[in-house]
Amino acid sequence: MRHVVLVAGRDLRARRGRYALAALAIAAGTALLVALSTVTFGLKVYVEGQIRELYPADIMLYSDRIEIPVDIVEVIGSMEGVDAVEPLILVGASLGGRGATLVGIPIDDVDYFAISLVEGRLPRSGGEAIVEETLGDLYGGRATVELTESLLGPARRIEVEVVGVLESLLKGFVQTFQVNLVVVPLGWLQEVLGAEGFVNAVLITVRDKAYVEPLADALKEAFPSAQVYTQRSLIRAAIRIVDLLGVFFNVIIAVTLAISGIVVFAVMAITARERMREVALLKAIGVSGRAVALSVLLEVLAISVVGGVTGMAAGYYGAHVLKALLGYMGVSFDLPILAVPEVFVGGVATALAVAVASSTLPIVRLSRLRPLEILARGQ
Amino acid sequence: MAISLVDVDKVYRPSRDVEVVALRGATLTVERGEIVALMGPSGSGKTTALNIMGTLDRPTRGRVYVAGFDVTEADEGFLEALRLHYIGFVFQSINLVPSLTALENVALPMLAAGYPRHEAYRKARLLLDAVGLLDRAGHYPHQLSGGQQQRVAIARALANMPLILILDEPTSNVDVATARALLTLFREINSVLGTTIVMATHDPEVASIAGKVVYVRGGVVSRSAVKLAEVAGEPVDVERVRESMRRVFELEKELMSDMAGRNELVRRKAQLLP
Repeated sequence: MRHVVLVAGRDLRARRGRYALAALAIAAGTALLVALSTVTFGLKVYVEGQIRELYPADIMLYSDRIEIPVDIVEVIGSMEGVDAVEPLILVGASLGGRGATLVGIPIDDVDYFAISLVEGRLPRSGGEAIVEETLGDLYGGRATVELTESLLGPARRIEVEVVGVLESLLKGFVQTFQVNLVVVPLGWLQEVLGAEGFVNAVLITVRDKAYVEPLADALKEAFPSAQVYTQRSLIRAAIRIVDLLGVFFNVIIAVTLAISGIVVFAVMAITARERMREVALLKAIGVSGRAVALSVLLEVLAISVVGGVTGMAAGYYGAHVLKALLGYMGVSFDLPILAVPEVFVGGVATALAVAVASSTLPIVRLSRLRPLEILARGQ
Repeated sequence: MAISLVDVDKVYRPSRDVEVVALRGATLTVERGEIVALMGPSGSGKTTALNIMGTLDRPTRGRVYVAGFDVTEADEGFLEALRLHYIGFVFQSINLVPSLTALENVALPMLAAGYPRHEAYRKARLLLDAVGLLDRAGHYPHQLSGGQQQRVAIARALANMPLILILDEPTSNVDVATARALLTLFREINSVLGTTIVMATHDPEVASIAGKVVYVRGGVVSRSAVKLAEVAGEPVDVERVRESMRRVFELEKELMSDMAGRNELVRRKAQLLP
């Protein structure tokens, strides 16, 4: 084994310039992999955190009609394991040509909805509303919310006075999540819609997550025409969208790794060609083909570890750069850049796999070399 | 008997319709401790015979015995081990690993054979001393002259104390003075270590150190009865060479007794050494 290490070590030193190029190619691929994976991971953490913060409910009972009696809130609230129950009305609307969601919530329980105002105040009486930052231009004025004819009732126009602005859902990062919330007091909205005593959504929070599934099943049974969403299913849906972004990232990573692999293959193929005389000599004096293969493999592993670790560090800091770049492009949200051990290990493992796979052919050629073919040529 | 070729043919087929007969019915016996020179013009088949004796090539027909082993159809793994422990090679031009120093080149076969690192380097220094190049131990091949490279190659070939030394035109790339120094060295190696030497050459002066000269012409091997001239002069310090070789031999016996228990080939070799 010592001769394997000796030959590998000396060859690494002799061809350090070329091997540095191969390590650089591996580092570039690994850096991109680590950076994009770290950003994707951070996005998932961020999205999940935002959903948990903005939708504190574990379960949402939702119907297309305003048909859920508010009295049910007390019934559900008295059930075992239930911590809080909040009734609300969610109505699709438009506001100055923009799609919006009109939300009626019990204004006394505003903390439950984790609404944080960036401007103005909360509604105190009927006819007052707070809007998302995306509708922030309406702040301080009157706005007309238009409801189209639907299962909820006939088309109508509702006048509101915008008294405050709340932070956008997911801070406006993903367009899909932008619902242009217009939040008004629940009692007033019920009155306007002629649905006193009824809502079309109920948010439920449980003390123990183990209650989520049984309670959701019970609600499905009690309200067969309504839909029952759990926080977990909302998170899953949001994560699925992030995963789509991940697929796009994976394509970029795959292309970069393929280029890294081609560079490594080219470097190792040239090196193998140059080392044929040396390997022929080694085999002639009795060094086994296995030892030759092991020696080259050792070099490839050393190159890929250097490239992989460099790429891992560069990728992690590159993720910070990417975050800053997104901020510079106007996407200002606090994306968490976390040091994820799985991403690091995956990055280095991928670097090793790409380098070894790209070098297999040159290694096999060298190890199977018949010394006489080369020695006879050199005589 | 160190090597025996029995009715060996070697036919190359560079393409489907072309056959080149390199050896035809070659029969040759090399006794242990003998120096044998294969002479003949270029393309006569002497290098082919040398390669077959060195287990680098296989005969098309006939049988080959090396150090008592029938190597005609032996598997490559066994042949690699045999070359590592029993045979030392000095080729005409490709001899040293360019990225290794002279010392490392000499130590390499010993490390491959499983010698402890410290002992391998200790013996490599003795061998470099024997060939008069201890002061060049840290030099890379490109920093050495052709003659010095050949001498390092000889030291490397002797690293595992082979029973057989195979030399292919060992003096063809060096000047006359260096060639004579190398010949003296070969003779001393043979005399002190009892190493069997088989060499291919077309130079009568080189062949003059051989106890037996064999002519190869058109792939046919024939024994020569001609006694050739002695080497003129001895431009190396023979006493120093002998002393170094004796020290190498003593060290080798010590190391071999340790390794013999682990390696059957080494155990058998230990029995065959003087």
